[in-house]
Amino acid sequence: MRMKLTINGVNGSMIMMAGFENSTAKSNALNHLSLLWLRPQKDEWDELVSHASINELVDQLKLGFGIDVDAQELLDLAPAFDEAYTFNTQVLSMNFAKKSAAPIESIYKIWTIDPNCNLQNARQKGFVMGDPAYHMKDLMKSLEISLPEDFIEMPDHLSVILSLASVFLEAGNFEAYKTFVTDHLDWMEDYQKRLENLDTHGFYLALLAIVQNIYKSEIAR
Amino acid sequence: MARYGMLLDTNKCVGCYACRVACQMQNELTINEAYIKFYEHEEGTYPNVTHEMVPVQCQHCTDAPCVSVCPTGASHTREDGIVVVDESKCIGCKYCAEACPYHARIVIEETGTIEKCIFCHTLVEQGEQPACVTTCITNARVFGDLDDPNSELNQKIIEKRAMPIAGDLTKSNFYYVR
Amino acid sequence: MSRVLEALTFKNGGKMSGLTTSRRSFLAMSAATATLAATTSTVSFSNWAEAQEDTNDAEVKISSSTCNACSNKCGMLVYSKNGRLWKVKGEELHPYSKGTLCARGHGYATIGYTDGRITEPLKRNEEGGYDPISWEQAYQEIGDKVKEILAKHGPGAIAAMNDPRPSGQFYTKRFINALGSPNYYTHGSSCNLSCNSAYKLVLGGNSAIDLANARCVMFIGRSYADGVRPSSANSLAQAAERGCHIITVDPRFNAMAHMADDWVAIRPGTDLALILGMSNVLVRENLYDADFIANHTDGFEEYEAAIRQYTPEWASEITGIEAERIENLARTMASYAPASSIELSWRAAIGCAYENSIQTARALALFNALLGSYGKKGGQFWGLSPKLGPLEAPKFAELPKIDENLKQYGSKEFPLALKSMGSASNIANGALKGDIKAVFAYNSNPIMAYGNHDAMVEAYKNLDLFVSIDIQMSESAIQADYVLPDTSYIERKEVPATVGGKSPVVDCRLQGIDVIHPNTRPVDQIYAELAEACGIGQYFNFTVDDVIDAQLAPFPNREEIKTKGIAKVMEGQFKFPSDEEFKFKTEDGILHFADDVWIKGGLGRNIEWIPPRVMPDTAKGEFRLIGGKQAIHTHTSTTNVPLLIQITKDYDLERVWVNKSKAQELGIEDGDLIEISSPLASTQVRCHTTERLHPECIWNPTHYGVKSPFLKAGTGLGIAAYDHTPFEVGKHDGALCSQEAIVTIKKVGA
Repeated sequence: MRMKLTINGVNGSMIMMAGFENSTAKSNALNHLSLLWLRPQKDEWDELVSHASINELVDQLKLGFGIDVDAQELLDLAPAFDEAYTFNTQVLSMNFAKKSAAPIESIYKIWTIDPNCNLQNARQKGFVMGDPAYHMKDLMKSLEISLPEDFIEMPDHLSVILSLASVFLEAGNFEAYKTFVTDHLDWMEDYQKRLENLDTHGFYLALLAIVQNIYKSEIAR
Repeated sequence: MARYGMLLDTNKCVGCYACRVACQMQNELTINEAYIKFYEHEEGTYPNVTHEMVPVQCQHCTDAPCVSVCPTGASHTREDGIVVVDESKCIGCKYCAEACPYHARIVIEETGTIEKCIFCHTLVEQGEQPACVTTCITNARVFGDLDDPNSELNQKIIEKRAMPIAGDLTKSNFYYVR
Repeated sequence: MSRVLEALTFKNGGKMSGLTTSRRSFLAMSAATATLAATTSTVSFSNWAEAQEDTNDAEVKISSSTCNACSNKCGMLVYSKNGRLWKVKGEELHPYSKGTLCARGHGYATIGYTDGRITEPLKRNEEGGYDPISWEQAYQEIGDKVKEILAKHGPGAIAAMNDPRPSGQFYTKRFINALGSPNYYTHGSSCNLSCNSAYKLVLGGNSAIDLANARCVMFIGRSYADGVRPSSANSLAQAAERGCHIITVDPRFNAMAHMADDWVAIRPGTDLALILGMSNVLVRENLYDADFIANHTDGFEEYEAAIRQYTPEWASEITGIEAERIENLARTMASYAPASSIELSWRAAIGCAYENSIQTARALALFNALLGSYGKKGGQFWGLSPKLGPLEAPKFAELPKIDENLKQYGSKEFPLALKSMGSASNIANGALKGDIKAVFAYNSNPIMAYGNHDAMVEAYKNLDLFVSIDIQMSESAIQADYVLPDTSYIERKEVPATVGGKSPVVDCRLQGIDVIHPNTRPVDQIYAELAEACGIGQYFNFTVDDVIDAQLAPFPNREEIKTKGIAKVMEGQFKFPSDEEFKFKTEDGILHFADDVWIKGGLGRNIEWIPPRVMPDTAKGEFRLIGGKQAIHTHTSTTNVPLLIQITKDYDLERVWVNKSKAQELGIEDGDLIEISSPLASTQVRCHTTERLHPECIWNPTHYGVKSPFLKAGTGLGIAAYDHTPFEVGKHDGALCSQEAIVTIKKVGA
């Protein structure tokens, strides 16, 4: 178990303060998870699902969240690049309407709770760029974090949410982290239901179960 | 104080459902919840037939059964004649929905409480018309003050001999031209 | 600490020497302090939402566009907050909406935000799936293919079609013409090709009905309450209220029939016979406007002779309407002349329904001339027609001349068909024959809407290239080789459009909200870039703004149009012409009762009866399958809007109508599941038994029967429009012949 971060020669041990030593593990786990929901890039994907990486993720989940995952099972589930790419483009995209399930928060929540808006879809689920997206947009603007161009229309994509959660932890801002997770990771169950109805790769269902566990454990604290 | 009412001319109604949609939007209803119900009435034998589309919503009755049966007083009539439900007092017993002869009341899924057409009173208080009136593509609806003899509503009621759909049953303030 | 955070943002896709915890975060921060300083209250969603509520008035912007839910394009105001759509409202100034929006307008406005948009270009793979590709790759491959087809087969092998909208129409036409091809098509073959072709030939172009002043109107098939244009429905309600005599001729007591004084339940497909019968009465009883005929028409003597045989008795046999009634209809209409006419219609019974539709429309146009109603108050008129400014070289590259020997595909076979529309349905025949090798379809769903689905799928398989430009995976998109994702209409500005009439306007769609999916592109950009890839980029050497400036140049209030999105033009200029002033829009200003032009289309110089292609054998239990519209839907494009489909579900609006007595004979009750059979298919749907329908037909609302596995809201509801219609375009005009379909029915489980 590594307790120290070494990045570019800077010793990150300053972050390791008593009582918070698992936050780095949490942050790394969240970051790792965030990358797994992106459209895979060949080299990066192979690395992300490598034996070493998966084992490390499992360690981090245990250390950070107290979540137990069987590393070998997860490894066995993990798809190779081609399969992952296909799954991402066919199911995790939005192109195929009811045959796809993009991991975008707005879709699983009422579009806006603002009573000043009375568009016909205002209180419906199933639309992008709802309140969650605009909240994320404003949040990241105030934090001076810029989104990669691909995500400008989905600031509430699961990868962005997980990544931002990770960044809060890295900054040592546990208060903001907790609030953020409570607000933006509460849709996992609905998302899981939708994925289960499609021909969803077991690996992603497993990842989703992990995120759900993270959410449950964090809101309970 | 005004006594609000509405007139609907079914001769002009084309059954386009725009009022249902506008009402849902104004009142933040889900797609499954609608204050306005549509009854189609077909009479005669081919080829001597006639057809009528009759949209029905809360009639804002002066003698409202929904108000008299409500155990908590949630269902009540405002000074301006508009019948409303105080959500904070509503216990969702649905007694009012059973009592309403026009079946105008619905259960709101999210809260379990009862709601119905409220004559868009927040709009009316700002000097505007209810959403169903504004959106009607054939101007089949007229809204106004029944106590003002010069209101367009009263003039139309007289001109067209409009009548409530169930006569004097509940002293309804909703008039139909049919 | 800050150096740690900066390092975290290091976006290195590659590995760092074995240290996996140095994995990238894909968010880029420029200042670390902000993340540290964030508190629960600044991060919290509910605090943010509350603050949003308070800033409403200050931040809402108002823009202007025109609704895209149907081809009326009613003016609408678009409210946005922080670039997000916030509200829509009908535009007061627009003649079709006059401040209202129908249910579709509200339902369709948010289509851009639907979960199910196509967000990137897709290419069909060998397994029948779809791979996302870059725009560059899409353009490269399409361009290469087009160049190959041009070289091997010439520009005549390429066709482009669209259901016209301002930019879509402009760019689709320019693109195909720039390729050297005359093969531009609208959706007309499944809408109003038959009648508009006839009106062009007889009148020189469509006239409009002056409903505000009409004393008598006959509608044939057309229902203002089902095929809704808000202002028309309103005008009709007012006309009925003030006592205008309204007659509706329709096998179905449609949604506006209750406003009519008379419902003529005609045998479907025989409207031509009714008109001929009525014409006969006007002529023999001298009820026609002799002065008008003398001053503005020729060939009347021939017409008089031709019409003689079509007595009311003759017409009665064919239409099923009593002879006396036909006489009375004619006499009634004549009594109100000239403020009396038959409405020209869109789709309904004479737009594309029967092989004899074009002849029916021809007879209709001539009948109105007998009444002397053209150019008259309360009759038929030609309103003002604002002209957009020209696009002049060199700012707009002059389009290449199309080889004069190369004619629009289908125009030789169907010379009567209106060239500005052409027959898009017939392109499927072209594909089967190998004449057409490539199709571009913009804002149209040919596979589902221009003919029998399975026949269209088979035909389009023969193409070397099929490109669909769309926003969701429609039945056509799923058959295409390449799907290019468009932005939705509120996300972009478009070229101007005109609305003619007594109070014309010019409108211009403005961009109302931020682009929702950055990898989608607006139609103007797609066509310009496609053009580049196809080697004709030089003809797109301008921007949308350039087009707007050039086209609005003739209007003194062009700045108002540009900034407000709409303005009245030519105010106060309209007046009804005097008899001396009046001219038809034909080349010589005259209406020709007898005309050789019809001969090349397989019709006679003079008007005559021709039957529909097929007739049901009622003795064998056959029915004609007819279709129609509903106010809450538009063709096949709105069934994926949950708001609108919910109305269908709540009121069982997808049910097929069956005449009550007929149903009883067959042991069918209201709500029963029935099986509809024809040589082509066997479909099941619940039925609505009613007295409001002619017994020789069953009626299907043509919006349902969604076949795309990807569209979700409307799946499993109702049956598709043309599953029972054999694919055979009309021989006189190439139109769809949607109602030349014969079926039998029975109760499921019987």
